Amino acid sequence: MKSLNDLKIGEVGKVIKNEASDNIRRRLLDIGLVKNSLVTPVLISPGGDMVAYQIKGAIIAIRKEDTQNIIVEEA
Amino acid sequence: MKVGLVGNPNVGKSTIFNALTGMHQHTGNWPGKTVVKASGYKKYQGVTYLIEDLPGTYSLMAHSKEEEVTRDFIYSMDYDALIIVCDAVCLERNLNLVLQILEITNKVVICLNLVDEAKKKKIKIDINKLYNILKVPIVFTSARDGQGINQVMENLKEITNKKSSYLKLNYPQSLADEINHLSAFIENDINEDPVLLNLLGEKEITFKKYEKLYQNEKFLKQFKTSQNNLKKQGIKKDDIETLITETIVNRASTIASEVVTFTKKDYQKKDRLVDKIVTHKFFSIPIMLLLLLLIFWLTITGANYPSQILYDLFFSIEDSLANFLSFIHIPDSINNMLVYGVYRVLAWVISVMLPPMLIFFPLFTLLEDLGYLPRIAFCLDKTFKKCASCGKQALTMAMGFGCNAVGVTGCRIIDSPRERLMAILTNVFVPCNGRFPLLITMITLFLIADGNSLVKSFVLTLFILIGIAMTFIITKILSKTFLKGVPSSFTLELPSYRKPQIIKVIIRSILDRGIFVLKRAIVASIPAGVIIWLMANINIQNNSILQICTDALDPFASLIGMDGVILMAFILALPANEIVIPIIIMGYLSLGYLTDMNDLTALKDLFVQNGWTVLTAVCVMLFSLMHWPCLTTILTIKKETGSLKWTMLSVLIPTIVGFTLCFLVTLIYNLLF
Repeated sequence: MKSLNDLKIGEVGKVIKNEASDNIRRRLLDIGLVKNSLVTPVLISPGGDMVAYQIKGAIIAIRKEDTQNIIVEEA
Repeated sequence: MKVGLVGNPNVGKSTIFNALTGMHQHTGNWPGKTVVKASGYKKYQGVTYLIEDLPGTYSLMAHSKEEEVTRDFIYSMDYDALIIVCDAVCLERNLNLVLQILEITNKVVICLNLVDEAKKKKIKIDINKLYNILKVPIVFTSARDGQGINQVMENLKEITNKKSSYLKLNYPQSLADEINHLSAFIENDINEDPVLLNLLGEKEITFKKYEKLYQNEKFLKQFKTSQNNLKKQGIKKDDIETLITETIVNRASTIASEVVTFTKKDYQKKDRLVDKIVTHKFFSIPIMLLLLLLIFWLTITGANYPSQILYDLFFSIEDSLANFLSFIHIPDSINNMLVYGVYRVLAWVISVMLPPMLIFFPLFTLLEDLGYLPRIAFCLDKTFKKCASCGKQALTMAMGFGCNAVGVTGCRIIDSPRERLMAILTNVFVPCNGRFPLLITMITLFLIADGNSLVKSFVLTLFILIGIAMTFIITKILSKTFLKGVPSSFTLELPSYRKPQIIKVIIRSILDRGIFVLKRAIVASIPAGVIIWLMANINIQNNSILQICTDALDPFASLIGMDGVILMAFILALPANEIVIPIIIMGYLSLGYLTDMNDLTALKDLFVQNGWTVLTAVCVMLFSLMHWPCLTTILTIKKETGSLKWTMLSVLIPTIVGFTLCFLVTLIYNLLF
């Protein structure tokens, strides 16, 4: 078990728990970060503050501080 | 028949809308993304369909003002049918919204759009299987070439006669039990699940329709019991929404795994490769600047020739026009006003403004269609975060290049109200299409005389960068003063790159922009032409009003490197930035400096005769970049913020910045030379 932020580019993770803060959790759920879904980081922004993930076939960029509390396990 | 058009952002919803309604639209003189609710008509087999294009959303749980519009529309049930546009490339994600809507109504036609992209990526969708699961018509569309549009209409015709129904999802037992306890209070013909679950989750969604439930004591009693029951099982309010979404997303996942097959595992390889380059740590910024430079270079080079031709054409018939008017016995004074006032402004606006706009705009739209702009937001997010804003502001700035009013409306894509306000207040620092030609003209006449358009583009880029730098500075200052706060959270989709529809973009831009610019030029410049002519020709104690006004402004204007006529032009050009230079010309001409206006270089002579130097040109450019927004933009800001205070601030901020900067430049210039 580790945070989504700890996944390396290309590594596939399986979401265990989405404990993101209130203001962003619902949106993250909507784009597919729910229990058991697979997620892969594919790109880091030049400033290093955002990571783009492949989730449900789409590429979605999220700030690192917002994905800190998403718990994943290696899949 | 009323039909709502919904879908996730970036699925080609606008293209479907255009393909359906063609030219029969109310708003939409602006190609590109849907930022306002647009509507249009489609006639099919004798029936007229009113099609409402709703803002894109991932879910019916609204996060932004735009998404609320869509959610309220769908829950209102005030329509005969819905068209849901889905991206065939990532159907699974799109199914989240589809399922949420099907819970409410089955009067739906699903468009699986971008099938050509899906085919290229070797993604196969079993449409029959999907139909068996969802029980609503599904059509493959490729809106760019009109494929599937008739089939959409055919299905639409059928379902509007269908009896309304809905889809039931299997919610976890704990939730289902409480829904059962409460369902008696909800009308029979609608699905109680989404309504009750939202009420139980006490989300900000309050359904007007169900407000009276809260006065029903029986309901309230049962509601409390249900909430307590859930609490006993360890399900808090926030957990309810997690459970709802999990149910829907998992269902979407199951459906997708049944109907979608990926025959090529690395179908995104090309996109990722391009992304690696354009979001590279060191190359991303240079690539951005080079693209900007390239667009400016193409615009300046390409506009030169048609501008000259149009200019020659208009001025060659100027004298004939004057002769003709006096031939039909129009009094000389009115004749002069019409020809040397109104006609000249129009001729100027059309010949000098139109060609660069018609080149710049399609180029920019192509960049947008390609999918590059979200990458800019991705790359710049860190800088925006340092100003307590978010990368999406970069997208609204990009819209501002076309038109600041559109940029201001576009700020709705920013969820946080504080960050949205900052983006609105600073949007004007990005020069819109109406201001580019002024910048280009100044560079051509005074800064780079030898006509090397690459150097000109370089200087223009430099000025744009000054505006962008100012955006950052002012955003930062706002976040420390009027709009204190910390950066909020957001997600940003990086859509797959698409081949832009080059021909369509060009045609639409020419039709929409061409007509838009001409209309605006006529509407704004005729009254300006008349006013300036009257001011120049009505005398008070042997001095024309124009002379009196410009004399009054002169001392102040000279502090900021300009003169009374220029400042006056900026004031009179409030309705449209395009007419600053024409007003300056008219001002000088009517003050008695008669010049032969045979070609564009004559313009420089006129300016020089009136005391212009490089300093004047630089200050005019800076002031054009930073002064009060045009009237349309001000009104849009008022509408978007709903507050006089913010509107005033949006006028004051750029004005103060512009005055200060021009004052400093003048001071330094005078000290040095």
